[in-house]
Amino acid sequence: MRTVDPDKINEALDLDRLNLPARPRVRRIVWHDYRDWAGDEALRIWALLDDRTPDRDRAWKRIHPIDRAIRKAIDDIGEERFPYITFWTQAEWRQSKRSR
Amino acid sequence: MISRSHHRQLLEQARYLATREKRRPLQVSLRRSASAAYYALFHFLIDETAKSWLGARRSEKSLRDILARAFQHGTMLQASKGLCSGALGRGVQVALGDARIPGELHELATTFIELQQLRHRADYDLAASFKRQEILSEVGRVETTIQAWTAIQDHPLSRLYLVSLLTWDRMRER
Repeated sequence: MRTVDPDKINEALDLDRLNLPARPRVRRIVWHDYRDWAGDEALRIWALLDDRTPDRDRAWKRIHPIDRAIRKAIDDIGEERFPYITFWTQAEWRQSKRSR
Repeated sequence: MISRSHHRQLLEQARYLATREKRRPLQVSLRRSASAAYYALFHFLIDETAKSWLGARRSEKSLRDILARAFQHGTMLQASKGLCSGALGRGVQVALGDARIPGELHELATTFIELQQLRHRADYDLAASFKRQEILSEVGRVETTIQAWTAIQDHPLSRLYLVSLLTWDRMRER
């Protein structure tokens, strides 16, 4: 399985390059190497949304374009690991880190 | 065979569980919701495969039930990953010619991969935490994916995908 240099992944996931919709607003993308339950190498990606994002903007139909853009960016650089993508707000992310 | 409405009931259950606590959702509710959403898609795919092979009549139900038990989560996962990555065997690629994977089918396979991993984390990773909107979004994702199936169900690659959910280990090398 072809894996890409982390710098290239960072570049591909740069918010200025991704051309994401204005809403819901993605503030940051965090990722790391991952191994899924089947033992396959993968990527774990969090798209962190603005804390003021209303619940209706977190529905699948609203975040689907972001999900698609991230997957395309990963695919375009030739990365073959499957990207598991989760959408949280920045506050949820901070809370999750504190509780560990 | 679980009736065709079973996956709809699972999706209703998933929504109920994710919204059960009005203020602060319990992790156990969100975890069960995630699991129900995955199983909705799991049973939907098995149902579609069994009907396409054995027929959809009530009289054929017992045969579909038998076939349904042959499906394995791991094989379905690898078939979905194979479709997403284009890792179809050379013989299959030649047979399909220029047929391109419909976007809805790619989305379906991607959703299956994501939801299976989510379900695994929800059921077994007690260190993981889940958010209500995160889970509701995944429930909506499964609903959308299933609705989109009617537009692609007759595409040759869609029918091949259903076959591969059971036979991927043998098909991948063809």
